[in-house]
Amino acid sequence: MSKTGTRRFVFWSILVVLQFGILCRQIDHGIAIETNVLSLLPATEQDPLVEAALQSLTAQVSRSSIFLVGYPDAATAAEAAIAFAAGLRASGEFINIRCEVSADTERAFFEHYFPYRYQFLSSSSRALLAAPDGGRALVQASERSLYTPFSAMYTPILERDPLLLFPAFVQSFPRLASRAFVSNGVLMTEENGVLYGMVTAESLGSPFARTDQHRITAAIDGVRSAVQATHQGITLLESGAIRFAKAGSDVMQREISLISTGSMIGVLVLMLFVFRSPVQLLMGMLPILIGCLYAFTISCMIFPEIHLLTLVFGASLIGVCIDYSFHYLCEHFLGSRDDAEWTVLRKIFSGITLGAITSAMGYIGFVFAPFPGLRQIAVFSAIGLIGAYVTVVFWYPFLLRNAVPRPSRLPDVARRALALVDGLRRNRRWWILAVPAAIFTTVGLLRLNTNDDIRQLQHLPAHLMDDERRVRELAGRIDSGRFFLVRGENDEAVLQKEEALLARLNVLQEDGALAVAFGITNVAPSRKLQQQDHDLLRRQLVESGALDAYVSKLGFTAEVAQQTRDAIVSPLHRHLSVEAWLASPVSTGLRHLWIQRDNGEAASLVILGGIRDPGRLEELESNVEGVHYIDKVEDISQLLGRYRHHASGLVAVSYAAIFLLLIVRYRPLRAIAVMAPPLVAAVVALATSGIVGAGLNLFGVLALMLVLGIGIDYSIFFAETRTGREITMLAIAMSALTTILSFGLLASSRTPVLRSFGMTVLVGIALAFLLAPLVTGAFRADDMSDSSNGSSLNETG
Amino acid sequence: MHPVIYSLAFFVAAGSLFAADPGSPRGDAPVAEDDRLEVFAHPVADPDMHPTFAAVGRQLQSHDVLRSSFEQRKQIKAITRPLVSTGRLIFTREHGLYWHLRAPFSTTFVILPDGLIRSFDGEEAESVRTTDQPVIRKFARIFFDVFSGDPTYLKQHFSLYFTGDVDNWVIGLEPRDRAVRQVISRLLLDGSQTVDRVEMIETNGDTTVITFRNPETVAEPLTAKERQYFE
Repeated sequence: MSKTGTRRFVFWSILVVLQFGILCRQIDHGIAIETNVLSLLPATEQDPLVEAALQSLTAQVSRSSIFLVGYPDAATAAEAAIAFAAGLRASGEFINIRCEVSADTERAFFEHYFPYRYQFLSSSSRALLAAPDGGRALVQASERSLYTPFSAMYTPILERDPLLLFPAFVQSFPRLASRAFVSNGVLMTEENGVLYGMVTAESLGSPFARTDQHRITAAIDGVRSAVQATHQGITLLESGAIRFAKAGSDVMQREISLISTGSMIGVLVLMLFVFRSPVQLLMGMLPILIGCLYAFTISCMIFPEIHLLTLVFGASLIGVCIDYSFHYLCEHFLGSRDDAEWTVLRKIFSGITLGAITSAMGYIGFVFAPFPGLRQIAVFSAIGLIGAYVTVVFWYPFLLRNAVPRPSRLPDVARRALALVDGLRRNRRWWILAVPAAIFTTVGLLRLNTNDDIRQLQHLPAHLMDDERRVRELAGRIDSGRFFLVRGENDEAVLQKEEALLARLNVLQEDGALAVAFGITNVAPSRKLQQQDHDLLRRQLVESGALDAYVSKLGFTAEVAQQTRDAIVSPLHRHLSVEAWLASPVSTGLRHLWIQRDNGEAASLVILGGIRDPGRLEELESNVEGVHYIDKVEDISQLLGRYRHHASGLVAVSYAAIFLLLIVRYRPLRAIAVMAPPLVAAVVALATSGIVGAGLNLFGVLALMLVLGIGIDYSIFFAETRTGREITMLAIAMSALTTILSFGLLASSRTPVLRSFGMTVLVGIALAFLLAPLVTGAFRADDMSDSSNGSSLNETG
Repeated sequence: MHPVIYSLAFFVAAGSLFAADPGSPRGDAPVAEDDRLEVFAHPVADPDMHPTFAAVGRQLQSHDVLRSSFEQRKQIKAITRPLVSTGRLIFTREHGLYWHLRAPFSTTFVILPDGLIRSFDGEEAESVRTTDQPVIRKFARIFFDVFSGDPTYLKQHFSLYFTGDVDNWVIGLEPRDRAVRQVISRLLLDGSQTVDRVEMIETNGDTTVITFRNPETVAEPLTAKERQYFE
């Protein structure tokens, strides 16, 4: 054993031990696994205020859950809902748990709004007063209310509110769940004779953090079964991001284990079959383990959190990492060993080095996409590959220095296969197969369409979608991805603009284009509107004499009459303010509608629900000044579309860069021949997506990048092989089998985007593998010296 | 989810903020005579097990259509004189309650059995307004239940009390729902063949007394015009 060989082994061993130490420290500190698909994506907006708004809304909505506890009898439903809420409270996983409508809630509402009844009118009173004889119409309506059989509801506050402005205010107070009512002290909704008590809660932990996810869902499940045990026969409906997030991560985690164990078993079986020795098995595992060690620890050092999707991709890396080992081991154990010690490495060095560089280039392309998730996947994969490569180069010569080659019949099999391929190439009759292949490709490419929908990134189980839809129908839930952002120079300007926007939205609501539009001015109006309301009352009630007529006709006490008159006539000196609203319990759960940034800038959100005509909402953006319409799903999908374009360009650049590299190494025609198999494979893989109808998206384009990065290895290995092509054939066959297995497993994913990604790589790699010996076989080992043999290229078509 | 929806509760609960001690109605209001209030000393746990109560319930339910004139007299603290209104009502178990106010102005309310209210200004059923405010529906539903006299319904919403015999009885009702109880502390129904008088004692001491005159229980079908109100 040469000194250099030992030194390299020791050097790499030290680095591996150090890296292992780093891993132990990282595990000790806890590794943050992120599962939110959105965190993979770049920010959609350059505007920090819009981004802040989006984050505040998303944080609020993603953490909140609604539970509906149903039973045919209101008292039992209420009791079970209260028990449910108590269970959530006791679990310690939730905050802002709301179920009972306590006297405190009501009192806070009353205390906040009642003093302002003469300056914050209900929309109904405002509309009534706006008419020419509005004052008379309003007092008439109040008088009628007093004679109804149900007037007991109003009379308790009659002394302080003889015009019944406050009951009208409460009655038309905007609410998101229009079908909700209070029964047995609990907020309820009803459907088909079943009463549902509502419980809302916000989780303390993030629904997208893997460990929090487990705790939160375990807490909910615990409460569910406890309440179901004590209240037999109740129905429980649930809606919230947590279940979707958990289901999505569970699927991903299952797939990670499936892909990694599947790939590992594939590798093991293949190695046992070829080498028939457990020692070689261990040898084969080493580069994979060390590649993964480096990929994981360095990614953890670079990125604050590791995304679960990265690990899914990473699991498919196993099939690629093993390639270098296969080449070395095949050459070492099965190749002809008539040379000196270092021959094995020297024989395959140029091949695996070029292979590692081109594969890494395939991944590095992703790094330049300004896409946090892709960057992570790229870094993870490239480092994993390089780790495996270095392990083979630095460790194998030392570790295998005493291992004896063992004869096997497999090289003969490979030789026969090669002869068959050569026969195929020579026999032009087989070329007829190119016709259906060309038709398939043309049809596929023509049928190819694009689909950039972000929802493909997540597996959405049908039963959760059903629950979500039912809760939405029963409880009314807002759309968390679409909203308006209103901005202005100061608080008052923001509020006034929002009022203008809401007035427009109300028109859309009447037209049925929209079900819910809710903004902070619904609950905390601008000063301008408060003054307008106050002026309206003075003009229409006091100045018109309507108030005097009313109090004398009904016989209100002189004291009540005077107090009312004074309240309407005296100028306003107190206003309902956003600050007071934010400080009051009435704003609980709604505070995210107001965004106050450190630099003093303010903005408000108008949340929407039941959108049926998004086009008309978009129009408002240009019609109302200072208003932005934001559609997160649409924005992201557009963004994915833009990046698909960028990535396509990037793929072209990568192909060109690799081609240049090949030209430097070979001559142009030969470079084309080496390039041809992965290129043709990529085109056919693209056509296959067209045939199966999977729309092309960013990830499909990236799959093409991988087809090139991995597929080119096969032709390079052939091109770099001077003697013993059968050994190369064997090693490549093993590589291709494991890679196909890994990506084939990825193609079985339940996440649509992973499925199409896996399928594209699968088809591409399989084809690149089949084409490589066919094309590069034209270059005989003895042709190396004068390789610019044009005729051999022409032969391959 | 949003707490805005909770504000609904306030509609009913506002009463509690002004309420005087529920046990001591104000002296100047025309409170039910003491012997009537005495009914609250006689709780009925299960109306089916109380032979007289059950008999009265059957009696009240025996007629399908009830027509009657009424006078409603409300005594409200903030208003110096009682608010008096008169009118006519038709109650049918099947269709609902038709409540027509003649004086001081003409208004009609129709309470459907599910608690939905329609109101008409004047005699013509042209300006129909349908209210499905849950809280008002709840009140309307109670109103309907009181008229139907069906003990099973009453039992659901109220604690029950009873004194007297089949020809001269008093039923006392105490709302079970917290929100309702914050506005109405007690209801008193008295009558013989039919309900003669309903008194509602509100939590703040206001009272509403509805007296029925010339009730007809003949199972005369609704006229075409009457039927129109319920459709």
